[in-house]
Amino acid sequence: MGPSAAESLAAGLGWTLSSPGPAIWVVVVQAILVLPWAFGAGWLADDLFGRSVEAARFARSIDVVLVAELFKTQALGFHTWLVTLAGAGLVFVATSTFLTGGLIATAGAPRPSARFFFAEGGRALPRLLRLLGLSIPFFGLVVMLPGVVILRAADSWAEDALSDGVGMALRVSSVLLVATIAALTLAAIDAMKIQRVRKPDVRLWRVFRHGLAFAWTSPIRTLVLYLPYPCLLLGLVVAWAWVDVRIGRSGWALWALGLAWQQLGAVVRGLLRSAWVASLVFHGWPEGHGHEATLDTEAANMKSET
Amino acid sequence: MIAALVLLTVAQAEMGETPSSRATVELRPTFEPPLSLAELRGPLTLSGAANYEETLSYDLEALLEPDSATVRGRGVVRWTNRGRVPVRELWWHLYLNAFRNERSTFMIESKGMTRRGVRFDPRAPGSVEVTALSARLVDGASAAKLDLTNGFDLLPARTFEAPDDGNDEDRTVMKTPLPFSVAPGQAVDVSMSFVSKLPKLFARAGYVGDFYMVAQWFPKLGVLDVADASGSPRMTDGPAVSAAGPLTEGLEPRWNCHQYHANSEFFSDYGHYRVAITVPDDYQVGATGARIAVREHSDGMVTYVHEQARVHDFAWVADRRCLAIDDDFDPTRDVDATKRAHVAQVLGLSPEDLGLSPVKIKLLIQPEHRAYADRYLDAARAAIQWFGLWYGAYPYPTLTIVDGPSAARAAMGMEYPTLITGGVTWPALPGVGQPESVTVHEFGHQYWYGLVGSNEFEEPWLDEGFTTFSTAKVLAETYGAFAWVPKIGGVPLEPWFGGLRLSEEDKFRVMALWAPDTDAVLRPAWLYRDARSYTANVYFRAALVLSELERVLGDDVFARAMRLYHLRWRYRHPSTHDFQHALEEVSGQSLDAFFANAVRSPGFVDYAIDDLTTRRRATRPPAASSFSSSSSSSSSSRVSLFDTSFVIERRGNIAQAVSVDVAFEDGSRQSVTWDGRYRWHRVTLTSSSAATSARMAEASLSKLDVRRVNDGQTTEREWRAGAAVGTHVLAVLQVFASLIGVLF
Repeated sequence: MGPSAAESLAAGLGWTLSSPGPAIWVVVVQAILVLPWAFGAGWLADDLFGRSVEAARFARSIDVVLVAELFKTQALGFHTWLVTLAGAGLVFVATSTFLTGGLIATAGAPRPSARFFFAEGGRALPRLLRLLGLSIPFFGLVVMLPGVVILRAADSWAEDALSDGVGMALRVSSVLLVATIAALTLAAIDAMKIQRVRKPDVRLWRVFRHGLAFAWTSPIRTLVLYLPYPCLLLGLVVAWAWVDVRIGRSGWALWALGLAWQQLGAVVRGLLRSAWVASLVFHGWPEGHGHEATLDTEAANMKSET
Repeated sequence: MIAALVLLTVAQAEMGETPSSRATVELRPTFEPPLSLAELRGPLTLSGAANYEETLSYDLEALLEPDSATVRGRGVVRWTNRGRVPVRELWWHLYLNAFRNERSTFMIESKGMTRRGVRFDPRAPGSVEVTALSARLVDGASAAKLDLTNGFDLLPARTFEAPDDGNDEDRTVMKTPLPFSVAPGQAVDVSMSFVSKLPKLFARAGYVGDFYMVAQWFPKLGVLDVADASGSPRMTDGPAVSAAGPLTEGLEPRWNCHQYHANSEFFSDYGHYRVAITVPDDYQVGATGARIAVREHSDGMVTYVHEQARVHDFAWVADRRCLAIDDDFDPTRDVDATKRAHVAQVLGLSPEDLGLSPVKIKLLIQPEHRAYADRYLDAARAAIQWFGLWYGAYPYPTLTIVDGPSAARAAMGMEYPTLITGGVTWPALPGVGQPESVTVHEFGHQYWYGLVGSNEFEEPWLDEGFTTFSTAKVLAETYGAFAWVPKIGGVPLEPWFGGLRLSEEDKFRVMALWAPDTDAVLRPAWLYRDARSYTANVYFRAALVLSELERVLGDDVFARAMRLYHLRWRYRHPSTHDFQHALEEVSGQSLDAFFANAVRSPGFVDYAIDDLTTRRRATRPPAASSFSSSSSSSSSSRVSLFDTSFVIERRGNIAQAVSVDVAFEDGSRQSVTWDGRYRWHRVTLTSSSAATSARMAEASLSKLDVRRVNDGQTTEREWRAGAAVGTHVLAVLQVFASLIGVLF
């Protein structure tokens, strides 16, 4: 009998705190990835209003009116940003898949090296991308399509509700229902990812079947294991944003403080992600905790070299 | 008086127009103003009652049948010909017919979806069917009396008209030829019976559950464009539209009776309404006017009789679920003496001139919204005080506020004479602008649409823009800026992001930016490019136009002009020209150019400062000691000169004179002016100190300027702005990457 969900979560958190390296590498890679966009935006802002008498206001805090002016009158149209973000999104997806491969491969390894992390991420990438080709349509079919139907139906019923309470209850219930379906489906897909990395020889369709069995045979257990991370992540983002919007950028010191706070938030999110992936790995492969029996030979050799 | 200079030189640069050339524009004929500037103090203290000349009286009975969502009605309307020529036809609004099917003009324009995204349900349409219509000339001074048998039957010859778009499927306007002429001053009684089927609520009128919003429910007469002293018909100021009825040589009577449009529905004559509403006795009823009688019946029904004079419409609501709360506005308790003294001072009146009347307030509120009752009532009292002090006392004895159920949101935020609908979505935390904002706005319509009956079809900015502008004043004075609260799944993120507060004027600017030059502020409501342009121009850019007028004319002049315009046109139908006339009368300035550019044509203001440089010139000795100085004299005996240069650009298509303030390192300032007509103007200055910035002078900062960010430039680059934006984008994208990590 495998560990309970709570034991797996605790084990994942413990491993991450004792081996924070993978989490840090995730943060560093993500930062490098987004830096060009950040520099570009900063440069654009500087070009547009660096010499404006209103520039100091921009620096102090978000000025909704000036932002609206820029978007509506400076050809910074919403669609331009949408296309830019969509392009960025594709790069982010590929990178995230790579990082996930690295995290799954190193989960449970004592003091995993950077070389091992990146090598395993690279090795797992083609397999995970092939899985992506299957999991994205699967997610669309199982979550997106019913999700739209459920949310629209609930919205329609809520519109006819005579009291706010009933309407709100309908909307919240529909969101929770869709979130539950999404969580179970994502858990299944994550189980597939873990098997895809940890058992590279298993065929895709068997991986797929394994993932479904993992997530859906015991949905309560899966949710207990799976939901803490996204809930914590969202809470963390809101808390981080609450503080961030209150840090003015009127001087070097405050600007540096704001930057440090942003990066601290990124590191905590990275640790959280690492802990979560490790929890899932330990739950599926309890024997992998502390020894690499399930890793393929090449990866194990590489790890032993380090 | 830079402001006055700015105003007077407003002109269209492309046309090379000057104020003097604009002044030659021929204006349409208008009434002689009944009030003159010479007697300004008098007009500013009147109630406007002297304007009233009753054209209509309705005496109606309505029976609500909840099971079929039907109102059976009958009654008599007396119409008096206030024109100068005989009339041989009557035009009627039958606006519930907009919901008969999806081919009406309303449906085509709205695409079957209006008012907060609610869709039309074709299984529950609406209509009004006139089952009998009988007319007879009034003999002497006899009282109007329902008589469906002895008059001339008007139904056989009736036709449905589509004066605005020729849509044969539209049945919202009915014409009934008369078998006789109604001479000027003569009256006709029309007895009628009708069946109004209410649609399932998706736009303003209809039902949902046990809530019935009964608006546009009876055959309502159009407005006869009466002739002025010259015999010319009075028309609104808007661009030419295909108005209803024939118009030849200025002597034919013309009915102003537009089809029901997605953006507009109000224009009718003032009259006296007496309506007996019968409903099941477990329903609460709110209606236009004062309740003068209640009659209970043995069959479980009850009749409420409401009456109101000097209104141009009648609406009512029946709801089985709501609570009824009676409250009041008591001038002795609710008027702030300090505010009254301030308003009196600005208007040049005495506080005693600003007497307000008591008002009974009835709030019909959903049980789950009970906690918001005080917020509704406080907002209403604040509005009654503000509008009453600035524009003239609210003359009606009642005000009914309706808070509908969640599912009736399509009927919320509406105005009818002495009855408004509010709307609040749970949870509405303090500091968030509902229900206060909507309450004040809809009450504001009692003044701009209700008391001053401008034509919402042809000149919608005269009610929506004026109300938006006035609402902002009340809200700013009473509440300050409201929090702008993003929501997730309808749940506000307050208090986490409550720090983000927008003043009403900032809101105008942000909203007006959605369509800064798509359409003119003055344009028929149904001819705007789309709903966004309509909203941006009619509500928000119109409010900015009024703010700009207030800025350039001065607070006191503008306030007096607004009061004069309001009181002069109470119970009447003014046009944009009449408003302009009141402004010019009080200010003594011609505003032709301003109205031509900012109101009657699309366009925006945008002046920018660019290419600011300041350079030290080769030094020279001071003049007084130059003869004795040698070339090796110390630098302290030499005077530094700086050449400063910048360009003022006109990037908008509305031109105005501008002033630019240049600041120097030694604290000195210099002002530069430019007529603002050509596309750009280079300024070069020589000074003893380096310039630090050049910015538009406060007096040149037009409220219509769409880009504040380019209104001034500094010589030194401000690194913090770019750095702040860069790091924010970095952080947001890092969060984005983290969230993607959940999925991939």
